[in-house]
Amino acid sequence: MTEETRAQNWQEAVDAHSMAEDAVTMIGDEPATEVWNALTGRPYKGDLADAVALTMPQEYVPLLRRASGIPAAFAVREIAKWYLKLSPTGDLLMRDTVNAAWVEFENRRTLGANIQYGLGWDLSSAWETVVEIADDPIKSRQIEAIAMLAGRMYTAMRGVKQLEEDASPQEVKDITTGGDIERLVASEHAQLGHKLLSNIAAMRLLKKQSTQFRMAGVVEVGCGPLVIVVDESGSMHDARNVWAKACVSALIRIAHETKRMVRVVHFSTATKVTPCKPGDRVRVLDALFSFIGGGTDIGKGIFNGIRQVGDLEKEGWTGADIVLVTDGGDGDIDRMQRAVDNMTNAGIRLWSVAIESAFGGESPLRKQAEKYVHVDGADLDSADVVKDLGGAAAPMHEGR
Amino acid sequence: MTKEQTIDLDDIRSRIQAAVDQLDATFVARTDSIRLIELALITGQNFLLIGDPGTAKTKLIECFYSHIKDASTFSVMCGSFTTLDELCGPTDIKAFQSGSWARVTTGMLPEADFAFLDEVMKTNDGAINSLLQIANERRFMGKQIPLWTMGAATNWPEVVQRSDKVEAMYDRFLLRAEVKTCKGDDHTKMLRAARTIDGYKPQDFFTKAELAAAREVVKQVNISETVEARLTDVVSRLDRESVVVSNRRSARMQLVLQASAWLRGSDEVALEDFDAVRFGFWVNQPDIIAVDSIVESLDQKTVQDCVKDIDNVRRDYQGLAGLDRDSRVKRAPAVLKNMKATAQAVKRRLKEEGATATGKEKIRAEMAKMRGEFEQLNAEIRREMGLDINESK
Repeated sequence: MTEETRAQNWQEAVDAHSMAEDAVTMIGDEPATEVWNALTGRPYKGDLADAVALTMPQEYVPLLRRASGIPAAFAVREIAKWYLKLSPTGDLLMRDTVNAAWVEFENRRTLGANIQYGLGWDLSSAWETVVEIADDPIKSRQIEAIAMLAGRMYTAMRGVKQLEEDASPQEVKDITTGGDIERLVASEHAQLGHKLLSNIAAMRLLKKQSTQFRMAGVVEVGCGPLVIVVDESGSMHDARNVWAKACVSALIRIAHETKRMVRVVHFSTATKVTPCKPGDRVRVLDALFSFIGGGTDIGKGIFNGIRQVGDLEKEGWTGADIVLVTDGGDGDIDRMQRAVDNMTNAGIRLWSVAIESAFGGESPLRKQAEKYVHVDGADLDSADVVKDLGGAAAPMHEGR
Repeated sequence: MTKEQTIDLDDIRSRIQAAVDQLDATFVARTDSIRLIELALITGQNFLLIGDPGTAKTKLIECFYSHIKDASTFSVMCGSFTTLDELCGPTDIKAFQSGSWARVTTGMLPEADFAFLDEVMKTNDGAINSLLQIANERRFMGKQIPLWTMGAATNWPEVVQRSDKVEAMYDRFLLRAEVKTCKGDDHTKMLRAARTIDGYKPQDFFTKAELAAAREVVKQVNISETVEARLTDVVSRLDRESVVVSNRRSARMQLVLQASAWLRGSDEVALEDFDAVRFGFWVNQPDIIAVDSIVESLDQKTVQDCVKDIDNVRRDYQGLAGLDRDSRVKRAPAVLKNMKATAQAVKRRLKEEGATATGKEKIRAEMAKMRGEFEQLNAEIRREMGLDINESK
């Protein structure tokens, strides 16, 4: 392996990761360097580094040698931590110590893999999250539960059919073969008119083997904003919150795949807004960990959602969808009607998700919604129920 | 194989090696690319160099080809407007006048022994269909063609943005290597090398016929069950890293492993030859590090299992230190026997699973520790009881 394709060297790791600096503080620069070398496949020396190489599970090797260096930096800190804790002497105790660190590493590896799969993040983003929440078991459990459900929801939602892009030809892209006389290159036309070559050229044309220009066109597709209005009142605890946040996460993932702007409006009796641009891992994490608590005021949430759409329209984002996720009842029907009418007038489409307490048949939140999804207790572990919501986050095409 | 043939093949091998050495001494930090072309030429497979513009990809391929004597080469710069005429020759008008349709292929790809397609991933859909058949089946317009190796070069953006059709072409290059821009000390060396590279004069030569003879011998190189199992293990581990290796690719890679073994003068593929699979099993750039690390850690589990077994028995030995004399004397023979059994088991495992030279070195070091402890304990028991474990057994 060449030097360039390896994970970072130790100096780069220290510059990039505070975990590497922590390891230096714990066990000193030289042992930490040697451990790093053993982890990343460089020549090493010393009993501790030797123990690392002789105990490192084979399946960790590709992960530890990733160019980002985050998993390796985490491992070097874990090893340093256990070394400091157990102060091993002799090669066998050294290996026992490193094995204890590998147990910790395995837990984080599983968490990282679940985040990567569930939230659709790349390995670096997943591991940055792992590192941030590594010492908080409650947050770790919560994000893992959300991620695992979100991954299944994403799979269910992404199957929603989207309209095909208009591929009407407008522009010469390159050369291809075919039998379209209008697109033939000049030499084919010349041969068609040549007394000797015209038959060959005609034969190629009939066999659709003439050299012709390939034309293609790209049509701008409107990708309006997606505003997710999510209930964070006290009743949305535990499984309801996990389900709602998994749903938020899956919707964000689909919307971001098509470069749609997302804003999450968290509401109870108060509201707060998390804008999530594509690729903004930190904001997405903020949205998932957010929990306001208190009573429920759906109207407040919806009106704030409409306000977000208005703000985004000023920035040129048009054609919005609002997804409401709540376990509250219909509330004040007249107020709801006004809110939904506002949406309709503004060309906003509403998608409603009622967790456990259903909206009544006359509720505008149900009647005028593009799709209405009711999630019962048993559905809280289910991903399939959200399938219909995929259309809310899917890209908007002309004439959808 | 006759003695005379053996001598010829050794000579071919040494001339190929001399060419490789000359290229290695000329091109800075291009060892991987040179190795890749060497393996491609011996196996008659297609190869692709991918890297930034200005990394001497074209020059390297041209210089390597210059070591091949009496062979026809064809090189072309591909582009989105390259037509099949430019690759395979224009329509043969005389033939057409006499009632048949053909192309004038003289000096073109269908008559070349060695081809070089620069910027191959820019090739358009129109030309690519014919190229696919040429690259894969060595056939053009229903006829077998003499092409031995199709080499190509491209840049990363074209690889990253490849369409489905170009994907099929990309897959036809069994061997691929990334060519990086020289930096730091390599850059300084490169500056020096660049001043003389235009005057590159090949010193040693080989012919296509010799390469063909070598390939026949390469095909006879033994692939053991251990090697088959390791290859399957590599593919499975790559699959877990989301790097999918097609059956065609892994099947063809066997010949490359055989070529690697032949080049180091062996008639059996060993773990050290697996270095060659680094050229064949990655698809996208991020896969390279996964393939490299999996190849590097090929024998890691074997080494670790051996060391674990040794550690267990050494733990038993170290546990004796905490016992009183009588208990120690009572337990010692069992520990000694276990040490002997472990040493045999480790040797057996090494034979069955194989290990690289580095892996064997690690195991030897741990075995030496165990042997030292064995001798110490054995001496102590003999002293205490007048008993020799070897005799008592």
